[in-house]
Amino acid sequence: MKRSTDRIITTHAGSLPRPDALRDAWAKPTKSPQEEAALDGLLRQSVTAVVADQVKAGIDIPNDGEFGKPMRAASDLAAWGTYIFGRLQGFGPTPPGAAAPSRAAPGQPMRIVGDRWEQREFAEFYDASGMVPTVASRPCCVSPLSYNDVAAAKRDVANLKAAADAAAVKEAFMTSIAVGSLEMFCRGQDAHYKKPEAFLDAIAKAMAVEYRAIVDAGFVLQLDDPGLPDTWDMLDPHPTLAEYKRYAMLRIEALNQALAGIPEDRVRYHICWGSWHGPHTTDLPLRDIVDVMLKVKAQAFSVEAGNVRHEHEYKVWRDVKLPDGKILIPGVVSHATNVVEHPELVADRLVAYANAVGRENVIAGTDCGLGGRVHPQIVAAKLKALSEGARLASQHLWRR
Amino acid sequence: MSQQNTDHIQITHIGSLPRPHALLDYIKAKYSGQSYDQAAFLQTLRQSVADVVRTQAACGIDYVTDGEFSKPGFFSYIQARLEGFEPRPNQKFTLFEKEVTAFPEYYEQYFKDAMIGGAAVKMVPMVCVGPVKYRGEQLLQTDIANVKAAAKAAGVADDHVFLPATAPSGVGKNEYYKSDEEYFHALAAELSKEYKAIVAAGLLVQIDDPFLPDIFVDPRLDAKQMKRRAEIYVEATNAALKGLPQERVRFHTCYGINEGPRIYEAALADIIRYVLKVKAGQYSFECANPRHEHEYHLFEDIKVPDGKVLCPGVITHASNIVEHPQLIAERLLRFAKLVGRENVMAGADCGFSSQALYRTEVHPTVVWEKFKAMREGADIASKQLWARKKRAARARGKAKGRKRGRR
Repeated sequence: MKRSTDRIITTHAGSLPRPDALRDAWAKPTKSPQEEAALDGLLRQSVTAVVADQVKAGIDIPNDGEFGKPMRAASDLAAWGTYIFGRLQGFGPTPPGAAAPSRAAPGQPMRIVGDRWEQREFAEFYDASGMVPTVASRPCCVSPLSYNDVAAAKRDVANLKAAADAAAVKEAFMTSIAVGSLEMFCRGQDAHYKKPEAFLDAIAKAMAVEYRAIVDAGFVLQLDDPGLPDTWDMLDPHPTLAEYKRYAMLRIEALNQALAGIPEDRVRYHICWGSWHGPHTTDLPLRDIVDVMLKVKAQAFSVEAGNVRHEHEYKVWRDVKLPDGKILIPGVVSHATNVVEHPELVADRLVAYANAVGRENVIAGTDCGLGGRVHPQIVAAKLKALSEGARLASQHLWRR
Repeated sequence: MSQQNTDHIQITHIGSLPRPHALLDYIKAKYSGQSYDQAAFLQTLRQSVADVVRTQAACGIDYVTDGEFSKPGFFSYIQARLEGFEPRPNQKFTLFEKEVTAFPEYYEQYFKDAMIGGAAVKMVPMVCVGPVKYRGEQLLQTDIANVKAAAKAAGVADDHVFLPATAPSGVGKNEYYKSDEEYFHALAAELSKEYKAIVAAGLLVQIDDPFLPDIFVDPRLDAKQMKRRAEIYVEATNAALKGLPQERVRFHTCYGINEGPRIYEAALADIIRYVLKVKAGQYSFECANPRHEHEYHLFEDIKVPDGKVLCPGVITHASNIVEHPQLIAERLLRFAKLVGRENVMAGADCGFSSQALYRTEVHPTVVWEKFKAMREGADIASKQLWARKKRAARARGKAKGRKRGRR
């Protein structure tokens, strides 16, 4: 895995704005063979263009913008998760009685529910903003899980390979949903396995196919796991921290099982706290979950650091030792605001991380995917600010 | 009374707050010429101000205000209070030109319902066509009476109440006076009546001047013209402030746009020398958004005159994410380190409802949460800033003791 040997290198968290034509093509419900072929061609072209654009913006480790993961509306925040239900067999509409409740009934065991705690605290805000997805939109596991659509995974890696070659990119990454986050995404709705351990085990076995395909193609695998910090706010009754860490550890063990045989230096692990623009007052502090995070068999860890709820958390690394050889990818520009970070601020943030963990252990990243979360023109400006800020930080850190 | 801190970091904000919808209904009717029940309006206004002052105090805000509740907008309010102006409804506001040209699609969408696009009262450009004269005494006295009564009920002393007022730069274009200089000084002479009345009532006056930074991104001005224009603004403001004790005056600058890329904005470095010339005891500026957060570094080189208080934004008005108290503390500590703990007051970047809006960018419930976070952050910072001294004093005491022991 590339690291910052003589300057701070740059990457981002994955999602980039899709071209309108691509979004429209994905949005068509049934596609004729001709339309499928047209979509294939469009996807290939779009991925080539988006890799070239990232290189131009100064991104050292680009990706395919997650273009192979269907985004059907300009502000679709869920494409990072919804894509997998088209690729796995075993999920379907939720049968009666299997839906996650909005809140837990008294006396019921702890489970993921529809209403997050922060959402309950800021009910009026969420009512006014209309940005809360309903549980009804989440799929349910209804039969044995298997990775069904290998062709989709192969198409993604082939497109990125061609695009990276064309742009002379040596290292690129591709995202895939982590095991625990898949369970979180479907709100734990499982009418088949009925036991979390068995459900997680089945998810791990199915997802291993995709993880392996990405690594075998020569890319860095990025595991998207917002579920690690964020499920904290979805469990009802609310767990104690110790209970939650046990809960989270079970998901991390399942993830590590899916990663068996994959070298750590081909894996980076991304967490975030949900990308909607809410108050985020109940976000679990990184400090509380960092030891669990570091158990993931990955070399690099991508965390939020560019928004007002998590910006101060670079201090965690003054007390927690980043294990030797590991890399941090702090988000130094954010999906959470349309304001473009000033390059001087980006540099300040990077220097703070470099001071805490060593300059060679820091890669500049974004808080979360920018696609669908800020206007496309602003995404471009943010990536520019990111690479400019990394340049300024490098100047400072390598005393040029 | 000075606004300097003595034993903890004090906190305030910039003025406007989300107005209750019942109040907005009256404001909308009033400014669009519809009939409304004046007595009921005044009663609603009085009650709303009482509520909002109480809530600020409950959140731990040291310097409170009326939320600009009577006003249709932070500068457009002055139109009702000045003679000599004529509305030009067909003229367009030419604001933020470079920025909007660079991000046309974004701003087309954004201005549809944010900022002036969402204002309950349509804003109309005003042009000066005759001698300027202040006629806002009664409106101002209503504001003063309401906020003083509210403060009294909430247990806040008058000298911890502020009222915002627009700077001379915020009124309208000149077509009457021979020069802009003459125009701004005429305005200053009249606006000073408002500023003086606020201070005479025992309150603090906050002069709002987002127009000063705008000078430095105006594509029609060259460097020399920018400098001259900024000087005129400052000279006019100082003329209007003449005779007022500086410690009763806060000067606020910001940048107009709330949430947008904001790439084409003046740097604090461009304006600071003009800002510090304003005869105010306190300077408020944006520092809590990613476009301006790094600008505290400026004070590594610039000396703030003795006795002046900086009021950097440590919470922002354009995002619903609540700043973490630890981050707020960090922001305050940076400033305290540079200019001294007694010279930093925690503030917001800008008002939370610069215009009277039904739907503010930050939801009211989130505004209160931000205020609470600011209190908590200021307390965390205060604990560090004042405990250190206590510890040092203790250590000195011990050292003395040891010396004595040896003797």
